[in-house]
This record gives sequence, structure tokens and C-alpha cells, in this order.
Amino acid sequence: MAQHARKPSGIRIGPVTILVFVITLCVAVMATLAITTARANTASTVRQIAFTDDTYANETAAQTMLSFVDASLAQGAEGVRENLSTIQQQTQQAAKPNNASVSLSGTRLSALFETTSGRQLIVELELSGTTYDIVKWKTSTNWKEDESDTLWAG
Amino acid sequence: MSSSFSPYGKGFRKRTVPTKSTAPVSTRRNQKGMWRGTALIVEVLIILVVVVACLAVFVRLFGYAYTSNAYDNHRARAITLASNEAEWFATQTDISPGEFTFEDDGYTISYLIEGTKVPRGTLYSATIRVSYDDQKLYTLKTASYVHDATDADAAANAADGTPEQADGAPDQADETAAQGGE
Repeated sequence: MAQHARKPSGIRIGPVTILVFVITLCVAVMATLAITTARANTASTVRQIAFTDDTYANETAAQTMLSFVDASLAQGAEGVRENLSTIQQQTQQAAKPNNASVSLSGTRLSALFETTSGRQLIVELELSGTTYDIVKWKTSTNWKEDESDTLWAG
Repeated sequence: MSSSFSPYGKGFRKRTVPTKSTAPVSTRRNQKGMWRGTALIVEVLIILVVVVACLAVFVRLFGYAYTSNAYDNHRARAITLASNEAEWFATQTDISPGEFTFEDDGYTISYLIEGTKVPRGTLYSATIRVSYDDQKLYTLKTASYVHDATDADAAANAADGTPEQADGAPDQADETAAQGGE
């Protein structure tokens, strides 16, 4: 009695389907990583823009303050002392919407410029006669710890 | 011959499987083969459709990621260029108001400088725009105060009888050094 041998089929769709599924899954993972990286890059650039904008907003306000101080220095340090409140108001106006504070201790005029993001510029001028020397022009950031639960917002 | 004889051996009972179809065996085999071939084609087509759909989505995602990355890299470079120009602007004592444009590393940098006279000098404001391939990337605004020793200050010095240099006009170079050194 002759037995029928089972003929092997040419294409076995099962393994091919699994292979295609695995390849698709890998490409999907790579696409997700690419999108995530792109979003992180965008977030980093936006932060860099905000950082630079704030830095030069403070710089602009400080340079404006220099013009006010220099104008008052025509009458010497006493002129600055008399016009200090005006200088404070004008500087605050120039710094809007950020904060600016000006104080005078002896012949040392100190100014602090701070943006809402915490970017700071500290300026100190030594008044001498009808002119001034810049003894400090320092940028820094008032860093506040993020206590939210967001681990990453890229 | 005895009726208990069996060609398969003692005790072996040949089982007979009832067949439901009355068609010949060769015809049933052909039908089964055709059905398997059709199923294979349908399955391949479904896989192809799914793969093409996934590839279309992935190509869009990769394209978006590439474009976004390229744009952000250009913006980051533009920020650096604008900052460099702003620092250069802060060091200048002889500033001419106006508008000018130049190229740097494929990027177009344009300045718009305006001057505002104040009692003892000029407050210059600069708007620095950086673009690439006519695409505006970043705009930075800054300012620089330049003490003008030739106007009211000189007049005051003349009235006081003091030499112009003795007035002690703020040395912009010192300002720059102080700014850069901090």
C-alpha cells in the first residue's frame, strides 16, 4: 500500500508575517525615538531663545540705566543721590515687564535686573566726580528647584 | 479459510473511516489546494496593505523629525550668531545708526541701529536679525550707551575750565572689560 508523502509548500506565510511584524515594530520604535529627539531638541532651542532674550533684556535695561545715571552725574554724585528715585522709576520703566531696583550706598550705586524667568544682571558702579567706573557687571540665574512630578517634558 | 484471519496481524481490527463526500479523492485534493492558495494570496495582500500603511506613517514621522531637527539646529546656530553680534555691538564706541546686512557661514545677519540722544551721550539700540535661505530664524534686541564727550560734556568742561579728558568720561573699554570679565 503506497503512502502519500506530504509535499513541502513553497511559501510559509507564518514566519514571513512574524518577520514583517517584528520589522514594523522596530521601525515604529525608531520613529518614536526620532520624534522624541526632535521634540527634545525643540524644547532645548526654545529654552535657549528665552535665556538669550532675557539676558539681553536685562542688558538693554542696564544700558538705559547707565544713560540716566550718567545724565545725573553732570551734577556729580550728589546729582545721582537727588535723582535716585527718578532713576529708579525710569529704570523700572525701561525694564518692564521685568524687575529692576537701584540703590545707592555712599558712592557705590548698585542695580539688580531680574526677569520673570529668574535671569539676573547685577551692576555696580563706583561714582567718582562726574563719571563712573563699572566695578561689577555680572549675569546669573536665580535658579528655583522644580518640585513638580514631571520628569521630562520634552 | 478461517474467518478470523487478518492481514494486519492477530487482534488488529481494520477501521473503516466513513467518507462524507462522494467526490473522487483527486478532486477534493485539488479543491483544498486552491483554497490554500487563495488564503495565502489574501494574507499576503493584507500584510502588504498593513506594511504600506505603516511605512506611510513612519515616513511622515521621520520626515517631520528631520525637518524639525534641521530647523532647530539652524535656530540654535542663529542664536549663537546673534549673541556674538550683540557682544560685538556692546564693545563699540563709534556706532553709526543705520541698517546693514552681511553674510556669515551661510546665514544672513542684518542690523538695524537707532540712536537716541540723551543729555550726556547716545543710547543706541540694535535689532539683530538672523535668517537662513530667506527664513527668519531669530531676532535679538540689545542696547549700548555711549558717553558722548563732545557735546554737553565738553561744554560743561569748557565752562568749568577743565580739560575734556580730565572729565573722566567712562572708558568704554573698561566697561567692556568689566562686562566680559564678570
